[in-house]
Amino acid sequence: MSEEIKAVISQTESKINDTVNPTTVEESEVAPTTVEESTVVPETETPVEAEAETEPVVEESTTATKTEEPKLKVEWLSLFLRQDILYNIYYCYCCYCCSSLTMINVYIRRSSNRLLSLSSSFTFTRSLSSTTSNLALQGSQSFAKKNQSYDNSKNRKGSGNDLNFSKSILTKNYKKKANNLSIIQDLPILNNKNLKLNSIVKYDEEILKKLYILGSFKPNQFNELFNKPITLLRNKESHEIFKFYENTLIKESKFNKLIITGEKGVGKSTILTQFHSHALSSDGIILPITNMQSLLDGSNDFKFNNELKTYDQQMYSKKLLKKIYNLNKDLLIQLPLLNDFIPIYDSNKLKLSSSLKIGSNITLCDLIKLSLSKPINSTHVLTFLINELSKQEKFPTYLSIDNFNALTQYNYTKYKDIDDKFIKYNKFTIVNTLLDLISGQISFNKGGIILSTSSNFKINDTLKVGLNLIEPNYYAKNSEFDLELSQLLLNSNLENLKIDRFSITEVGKLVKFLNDCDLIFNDFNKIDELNSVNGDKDEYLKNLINKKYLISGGGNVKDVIKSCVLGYV
Amino acid sequence: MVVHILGKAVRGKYKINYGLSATFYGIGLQSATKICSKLGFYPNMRMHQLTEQQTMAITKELSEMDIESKLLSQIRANIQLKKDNGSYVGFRHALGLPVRGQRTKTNAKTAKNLNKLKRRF
Amino acid sequence: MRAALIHLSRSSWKGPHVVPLPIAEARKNNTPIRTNARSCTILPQFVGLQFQVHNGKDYVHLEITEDMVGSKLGEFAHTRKMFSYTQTKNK
Repeated sequence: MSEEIKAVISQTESKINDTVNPTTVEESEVAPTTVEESTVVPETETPVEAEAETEPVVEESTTATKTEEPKLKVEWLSLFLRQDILYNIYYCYCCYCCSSLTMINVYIRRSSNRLLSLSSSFTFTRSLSSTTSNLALQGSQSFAKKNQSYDNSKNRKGSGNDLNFSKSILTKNYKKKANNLSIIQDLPILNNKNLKLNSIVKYDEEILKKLYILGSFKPNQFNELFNKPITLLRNKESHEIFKFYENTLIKESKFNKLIITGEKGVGKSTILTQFHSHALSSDGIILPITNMQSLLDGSNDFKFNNELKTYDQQMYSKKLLKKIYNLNKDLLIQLPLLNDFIPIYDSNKLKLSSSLKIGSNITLCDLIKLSLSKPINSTHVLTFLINELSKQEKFPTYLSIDNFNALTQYNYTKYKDIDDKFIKYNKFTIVNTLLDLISGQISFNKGGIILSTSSNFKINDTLKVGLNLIEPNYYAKNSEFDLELSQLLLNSNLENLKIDRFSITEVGKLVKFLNDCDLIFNDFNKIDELNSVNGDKDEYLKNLINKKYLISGGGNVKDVIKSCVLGYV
Repeated sequence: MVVHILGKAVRGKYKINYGLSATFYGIGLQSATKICSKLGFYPNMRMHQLTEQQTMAITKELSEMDIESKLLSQIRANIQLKKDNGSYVGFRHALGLPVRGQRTKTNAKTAKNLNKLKRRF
Repeated sequence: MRAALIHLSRSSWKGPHVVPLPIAEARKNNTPIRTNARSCTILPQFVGLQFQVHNGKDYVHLEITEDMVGSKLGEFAHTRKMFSYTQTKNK
């Protein structure tokens, strides 16, 4: 047996000497004399080591067969034993499909007889070892096995693997893994009749479904921390938005116009979502435009309409109609058609006699269905629908636009006309209709218009002049200031709801809730901080709240949650 | 998906202006964008979204322009003209050396690679 | 040639760089014009004339054709001699 091994060793040794860096070999021979009973092993090799300790005899038998493998990857490990005998054990393992690690050979410099004594000593120690270490061994072995089956060729870094976190939120259902359903179920429901200000609430189940259709929740709002979205009803802002909502139930929409402004991460979109929830709970029809930018950034098709002399955006209006239909179909089905509808066809070949006439139980629901099923001009359908909604008196109707300042930031859209020049925003049919609604030319009998700005787009002079915050600078650059739009906004008397930062009590509510959900990442300092207040948890929380208030620059919600949740802030 | 324009394959996922400029010699991003806006394509439109008619329209636009081999032969003719004149520029081209007064003691690799009697591209 | 290259190289209000030359005389007598002005632009009027342009050492004879219009006179009188290896040192 020993002769066989020697033969194998002499074969492999030549191969090893070819592949192993000669300097490392020298080091391994010299170094161990000084250091004893310590194993210097890189972390990744631990499973292999475990394998070596358990089954050294089997490996000997496999050596003869596996040395003939073409690709040899050689790593070395030095083991130092108590018996003052120095062994340099070389672990050679083969690469099957670039990944699987299999031990090939163990060889010892001095004699093969030593190998037997070594292997017996290993088995001896192993039988004596405690159960926990046994488990650890098994664990490491299973890890090694997993590592063996890991196929590198499947780890394609192509499309889909390189999503950043905020994008992966959309597809990976993190909120299901959040473990705070029981806490959220105890929360009160956001209710129109009894508004519990200064408390954290959840949304009604039915309304929540609609809010998801509407697209009120955005990827960077930290909603994935909870099983269901929650919101804090704020003293001032939530109250004001509720007052505005109550007005919309009585007055025409041209008297109810609100624009939500505020700095980055202060909760503008959340306040807008609260308004959506109010509106949906009392049978309100919402025309949702969740991102104004998508009308202007050239992501949808456009076609010149010869009658109106403006550009129609068919793809966008079809998407919007679908959204309106899904969101409000139980209300739209109750609204009869008030005017005859004669569809416009995109091409003359497809003239179909499918105009809708008054009476005969035709509702607005049928109108949208027609536009979704047949190749008719959907932008025309959208404008027609808005006109129809402005005439009915049954339900309050709302227009909600998020990221409104995408419109005001530049004069021009990213679309280009035939002469390769950028087209202005007022050349688009949908934008014109929205501006008509904002200026009050078209008005719903009940309802309101609610706009919200976003800090992702710049807020330039156009919006500031439109809100009567500054005087216009007539000499400003054409791209920086648009007099026409600012005058339109000025004349439409938008009410400005400025969202402030959280007060310290509001930050307290939030941090306390996060603490209840066990979401605050404070592993390193928690024990020290608890000791400093003699284990008083209330005092600890109080200190934490003060700290978070300070870190977030005086109550910026986004920064509060970031500093609580993320480890690196 | 692959779209074929003038016998050349363009990747379907490319935006149209990028796809055209990447495929054809003599078309940059600017002139490709001009073609797109002339034919009424929206900026984010992708190659695979083109209908047959639109592909034909692009082909028509391209056939009127000086691109690919037509442009290459024009450039070669210009160089040949300089050489026939006995001009210094033509002389340097024929020698395979830099034309516009650059140093030749070191470097000048590009010129040595490209400036041939029939210029390489 | 591309018009832009010529247009961009020199401001248009200056016009082409020309020095006074005895063109009329040369045309009458059909004699070559001997000149040191290498940087003089070749105008369409020069076509068919004969020039002797200085190259630093002597005067290079050349006849102007239509293709040369727009370039300078010096472009056609090379100033450097190509190095060619000769085996015997004495010759």
